[in-house]
Order: sequence, then structure tokens, then C-alpha cells
Amino acid sequence: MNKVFAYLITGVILLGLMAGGYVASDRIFGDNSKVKSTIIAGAPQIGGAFSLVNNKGENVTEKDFQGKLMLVFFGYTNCPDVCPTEMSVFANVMQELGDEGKDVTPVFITVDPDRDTVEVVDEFVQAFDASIVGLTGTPEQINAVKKGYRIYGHAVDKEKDPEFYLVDHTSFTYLMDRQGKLYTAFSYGTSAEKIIKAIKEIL
Amino acid sequence: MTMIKFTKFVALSALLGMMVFSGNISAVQAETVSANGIEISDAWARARGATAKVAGAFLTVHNTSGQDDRIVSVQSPIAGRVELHTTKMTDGVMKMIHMKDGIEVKAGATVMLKPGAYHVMFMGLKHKLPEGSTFPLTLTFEKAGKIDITVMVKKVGAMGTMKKH
Repeated sequence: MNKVFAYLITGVILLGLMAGGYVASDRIFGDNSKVKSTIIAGAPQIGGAFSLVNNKGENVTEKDFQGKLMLVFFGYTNCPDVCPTEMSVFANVMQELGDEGKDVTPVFITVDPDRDTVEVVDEFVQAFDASIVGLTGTPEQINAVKKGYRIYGHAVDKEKDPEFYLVDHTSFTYLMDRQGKLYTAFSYGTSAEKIIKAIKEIL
Repeated sequence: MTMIKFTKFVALSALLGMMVFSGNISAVQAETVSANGIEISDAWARARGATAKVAGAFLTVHNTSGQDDRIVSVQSPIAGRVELHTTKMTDGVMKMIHMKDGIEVKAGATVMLKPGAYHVMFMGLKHKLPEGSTFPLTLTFEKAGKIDITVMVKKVGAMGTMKKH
């Protein structure tokens, strides 16, 4: 518990440094991202740039989501248990938020781009809540976003079972702030109420 | 190092959370089937659309037979392949495991197949599963033999017999 507390405090300090570093580096060097990453070396940096395709077939990047909070979960639609459960939590969060939810984008990113085409992802997310954005892409695009969000995703015995292979994957939900920076992470099983509480802290 | 400790903490909290949740079960109006000392109840699945190729179903098995038994296989006409799976979480990574030896139900025990734990996995769905529909499922027990049950399809976001608040 002390370790977690220490981690949180460190996180807060580093966030402060990041903010300071961001302003300083922006002033001195313009958009020099190398300077920023040096300042926060060692901190768990989650998120960042991505280029993906949304469930309407449009190309999107992290910039399309900035200005709003983003609730991010990685999964795959052939997942019978965990992913539908988390998506139902997302749906509950959005329904409970009501009007306040207009500043929150719930996002499902597939770790299984081979099977999760735009149509498949669209049907999957729409079944839960119209506000959920589903993202897929090429395997390279998905690998890049997984790296950015430190997501582990591994297809098990894909060769042996090409149609119905299972995918092990990180089950955290990330809450990103309006600048696309990590605010907090929730473990699988976190209630909609707790997620709403965190959202309201920065809404 | 701190990150690993943190993920372990998060994983543990999630497990504890699930344990708290599982204490919150209330009965729903679903059929209960009894045969050869095995009672199966609350069989349900989540609605799935036309592009969905897989589905999961959940149910409760109570063994009143006085001897240990085991669900060895599951079958249903809705899918090409039906298997028993479980969800395991290690440091925040969810892993689905095929229970090749089935699921043991000890004498007097109640085993729940529920979200985040054991579930019936349907692979190669032959049609969509609309909310409100039902489909048949056959469980084969080592000792009690084959038992048929009707699975109720609930809304896609259903969490089963758990109370929402």
C-alpha cells in the first residue's frame, strides 16, 4: 500500500515536472518532443500518438480525441467474457454521466486487427452504447498503439486455430485527460461508479 | 519495479472486487433442471450480433448427488465448437484457458460459471443471438450423464444475476 502511495506521489511530482517541462520546452525549442521525454525519463508514460481507423471506417489520430477525456480499453470482439463485461461498464458510465458525457469519449481498441475489421468492431461497440468509438487498423498500427499504451496482447496458438484463437491481453482501462495524457488506470472489475468519480475529478 | 508492484496490487484489488461482487447474487426467474443429483440453474448468455463468431454462456451447477462429479463436455446446436473456458488474470493480463479436463463439481458444492471466471465458450456461431431468445445447451457430466438446459439470452451488457448497485 505504501508503495502504491509512493507511486502516486511520484506520479504527481512527475506530472508537475512534465507540465513544467512541456511549457519550458515549448518556449525554448518549439515542438521538440525529445526534450520532454528526457525530463520525464523513468516515469510510466502511457498514451501518445496513434493512427488508427474508427468504426465508421475513418482514419483517426490521437489529435481527433484531444479536448475531451478519453476512456480507453484494449480487447477483441471474439472475447466472450472480459471485453463485453468492460464494454458494459463503459455503457453504464456513459448512461450515468448523461449530458456530462459529451466531454468523454469511451474508446475500444482491438488487439486483434486480423479478425476485428471495421464492420465487426462497429457492430460490437454499437451493441453496448452509441457513444463508444471502436478502433482497428493494420497490424503495424495496432502494434504501435499497444506499445504507446504499454499493452500486452498475444494471440495464442494462432497457427493451430486460425479462426478461433484466443488473445491474452492487458485488461486495464485508462482515463486520459483532455491533452491525451494518462490521468489514472482502472483494473478490470472496477465499478462504473468509481470510474465516474475519477472522470468527475477532471471533467 | 514499482510498476510491477503496482500492477500486482491492481490485480489483487480486482480479485477482491470480484469476491465482493460474487457475494451479491440474487435469484432470477430462469429454469432449474435437476437430474441424477445435479441441479443446473440460471443459464444465460449475452446477446450477440450478426458479425459475432463467438459467445459466452454462464450458469450455476449444484451437486446434491453425494459424490464428486465433473462437467466433461458441453454441446449446443448454435455453434460448431463449444468448450469450457476460464478467465485467469495475472498482473492485469487476462488470459482465457480452455478447461480440457472439464470442471470439477465436488459433492455438495455449487460451482458458478460467471463473468470473469468459468464460462461456456461458443466458437463458430451459426446465427446471431437476439436479446430475449433462448437456445439449448447440453452438459455432459462424468457420473450424472447428459443434462439439457435452456439458455436465456440477455442484453449484451448483462452481468447475469448480479445486482447492479
